[in-house]
Amino acid sequence: MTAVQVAERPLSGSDAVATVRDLARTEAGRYARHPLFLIGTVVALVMAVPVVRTRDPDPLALTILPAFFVGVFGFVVAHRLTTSLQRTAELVGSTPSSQRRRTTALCLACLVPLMAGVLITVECLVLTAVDPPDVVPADGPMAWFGDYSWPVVVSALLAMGPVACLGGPLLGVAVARWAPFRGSALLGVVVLVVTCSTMASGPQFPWRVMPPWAALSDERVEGGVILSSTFPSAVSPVWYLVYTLLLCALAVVAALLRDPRGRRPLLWTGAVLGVATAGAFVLALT
Amino acid sequence: MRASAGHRADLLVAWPTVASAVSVALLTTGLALLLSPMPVPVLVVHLAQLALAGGAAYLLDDAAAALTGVAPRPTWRRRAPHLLIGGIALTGSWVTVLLCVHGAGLSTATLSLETGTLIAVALAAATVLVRLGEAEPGALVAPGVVLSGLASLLVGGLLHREVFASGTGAGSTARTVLTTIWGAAAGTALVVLLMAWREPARGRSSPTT
Repeated sequence: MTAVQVAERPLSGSDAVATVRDLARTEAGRYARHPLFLIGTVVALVMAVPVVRTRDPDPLALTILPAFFVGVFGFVVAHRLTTSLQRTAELVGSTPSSQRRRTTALCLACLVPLMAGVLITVECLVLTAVDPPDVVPADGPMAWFGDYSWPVVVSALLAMGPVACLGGPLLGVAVARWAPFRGSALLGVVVLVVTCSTMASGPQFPWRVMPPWAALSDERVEGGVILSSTFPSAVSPVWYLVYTLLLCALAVVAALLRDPRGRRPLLWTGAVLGVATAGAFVLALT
Repeated sequence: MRASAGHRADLLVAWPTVASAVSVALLTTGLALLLSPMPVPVLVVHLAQLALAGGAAYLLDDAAAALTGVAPRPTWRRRAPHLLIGGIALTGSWVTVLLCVHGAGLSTATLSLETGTLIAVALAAATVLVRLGEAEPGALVAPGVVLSGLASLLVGGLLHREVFASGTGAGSTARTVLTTIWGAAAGTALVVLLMAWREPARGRSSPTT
């Protein structure tokens, strides 16, 4: 069999959209069938039950389940899906599409883990409603509905759960596009987890909320037991949500920039997004 | 000429393993300096252990396995330079990590047992995959080892259960139980490694026609 490199033919706007839509559907199917995604999602769904039953009065801590089992696992899934296209470059190159459209399709396929993240977050909400955590003392604070306004709690839930499930895979696509060497997935996971764990659990602002996943609730712990939880007054969860969404958009732009053709509009978009991200970060701290 | 030198270097050095070992040493040293005089967080030490095990999974990668499998040279001799240089890099990196956590109150022997076990498990999994025909098992095993290790740490933390023996108090029953489990896991991994490493064709009489 001979693989023939077909020159990219210019497509009309509707044709290009249809191509990307078809490719995205295919990639979403590959993502949804990937064993690592399935294992991660099932483990997160199952683990939520015993974790809720520990009845720690910090329900937001549950969001670490989708963030890790779908977001960090998703980094590896997206990395492998992206590099698999590069490993079969001769075959893929013979299809009437471009690298940028394939990257766009891979980014759109990352909506699959976003949906999984939403599902796990809803499960956590239901389980917490059914079996509410105990606060010590009983009238103590809890970073949850009732003690805080719903936009604050919902923003924190979304930023720490579903958006992290989207961001991890998008970062995986970007890393695989720019660093497709063996071991880059391993290195990426280690750097991502070290950054988030060491900075997010540290006491100092603004570094604490700089990583793409940050613990937005403070716990009062005595003798190793969590008694109550609060939102730190120094952080606005609503603006932190905007910040993380903009980081996701930057990851998409970074992935698309790998294709050398027509970079100027993307560079402008990246610059605008970079400024907006910095602005959202500042606003999150004021 | 340059390409030939590159190929020779690839035959001698498992680059992902060496890169992982160097990265772990640099990251841990950097964090230790950055956080000084506070000790390096235990989570970072566990991450270093997992990353080194993940790096070890690349030791058996051999993109040309399908071609060299028919050569009369035994597999272990072909892989000896990879194993030797990779082993030196991993050992050097681990010694650096131990120097960085010196004074953090962690047992060096227990940490080393855990690291040895994780590396043995990674190598056993890679050897099994090689036996099943996978030329480059590192790409599958390395993220698998790191993700499963992190998942165990996370779930253990959420359920208030220790997974690593080094996280328990010295002399406690939990330390004894966990050390025994880690030792048993190392033994099992070594048995699997040795069984999967055997070359089935070697030592048999040649087929007669």
